[in-house]
Amino acid sequence: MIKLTNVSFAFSNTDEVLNNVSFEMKDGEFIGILGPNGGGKSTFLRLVLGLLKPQKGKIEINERKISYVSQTTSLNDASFPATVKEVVALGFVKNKPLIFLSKEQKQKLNNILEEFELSDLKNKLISELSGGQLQKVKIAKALISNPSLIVLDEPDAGIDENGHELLIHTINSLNKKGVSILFVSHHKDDLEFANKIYFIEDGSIIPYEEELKRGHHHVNL
Amino acid sequence: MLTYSFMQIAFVVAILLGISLPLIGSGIVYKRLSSSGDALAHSSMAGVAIGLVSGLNPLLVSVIICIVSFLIIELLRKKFSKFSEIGVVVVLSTAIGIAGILSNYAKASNFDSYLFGSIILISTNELIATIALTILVLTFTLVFSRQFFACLYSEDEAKTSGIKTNAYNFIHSLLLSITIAVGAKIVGSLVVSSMVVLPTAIALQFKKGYKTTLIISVIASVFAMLSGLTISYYADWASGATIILVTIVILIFAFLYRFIKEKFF
Repeated sequence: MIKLTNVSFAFSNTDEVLNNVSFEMKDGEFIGILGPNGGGKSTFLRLVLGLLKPQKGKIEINERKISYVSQTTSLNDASFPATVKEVVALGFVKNKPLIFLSKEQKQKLNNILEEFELSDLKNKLISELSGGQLQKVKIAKALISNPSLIVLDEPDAGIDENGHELLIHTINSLNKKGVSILFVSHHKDDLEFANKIYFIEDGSIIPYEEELKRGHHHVNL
Repeated sequence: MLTYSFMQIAFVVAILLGISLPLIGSGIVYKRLSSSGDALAHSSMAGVAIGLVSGLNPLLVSVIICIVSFLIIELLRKKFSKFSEIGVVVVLSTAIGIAGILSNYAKASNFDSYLFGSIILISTNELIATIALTILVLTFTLVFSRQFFACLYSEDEAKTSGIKTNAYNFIHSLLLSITIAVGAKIVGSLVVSSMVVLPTAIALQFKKGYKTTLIISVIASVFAMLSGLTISYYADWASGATIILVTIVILIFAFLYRFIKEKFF
């Protein structure tokens, strides 16, 4: 369960990015977030994940295992030395020392690489992958830890049609198994299986239907 | 050469520093903070100058000043997130200023030995400090390698999955500061800043994964340390300067290897 009550947030020396926002997400729900660039979507996610602290309001999160697929990681850095296998295996890492993967973890790693058609690329450097392959690596990393909530920040950027279908299918089937999904996207089509869709713009969050009624339908959607 | 006990100790220390400098230095290369190694090495000089003038243990003061300097760099990096090099320049300039003024009041021969290193004149305390440091760096790298790798990959994702990123970054900064302060006494401040960065630069030319890159950087570093030390002994050159030149030669060969591999294979 995630609950935001009258939350306001502003970066120093800027106007409020989010203004008196309230939002609730129940366990097992699939919630989609739409909105234009710079509208506050990423800030909203970072608040939900506890990466930012609000100046006003209250945030309650009752999720034990959260996986976050962020937009910017070292995967975007061409010189960062990491193989596909090394990055996906990061999903197993917590604070306990993990020098060697267990037999079960190795098996699970191989299975997820297989599922995402990454087996042949497992020893390849991430800097040598296409945009779509990179996104698959990010999502495989997020899934391998069996999360109860997955938060995705525009995960379909640069992904090809097959990869896109696999992503939507995977997210939907995980949700059917009870995993909560919070999915930020530019495209409403990504969110066809969502229980609710919200629109974030100018520091406010409103149900998408209301946004449509207002006639502010964003060109990108 | 190895019949002399001072050379035996020098070789042991060269191997230990050859392992610890690139292991702890790779983090600052990936964080795009390579120049902070340089700032810390100069801070260690300021620490030595303060120690020599005040009569306190120069190595201990140097370690403390390095830690404080890294904390200032990190603080300024967060304050000016889009201009992270500002912190490095502030610390570097301050350290050079302090070292420059105080070196007038310190005994010249003592100060020079910290500036250029004295790997063949190692005291028992320095040997013990190097062994302890290498054990700490190796333990951190082996036990928490994946956690630190997760912080380098994405701090936000790591934090969200419950990894204590601040703790791992702090331990890394602490070990980096101590390694640079101790290394500066042995191979010299001017050399240690290169040795935390160049072995990783060499290893990156082989385009391997995170773990293999770390291993290659250690092999390159130990090889450069030992061959530099041997050449300096027979040619009667300064040991630190020779080690750096050997490292640069290895880097040139690594560049050539990458160029040929990408061009013809």
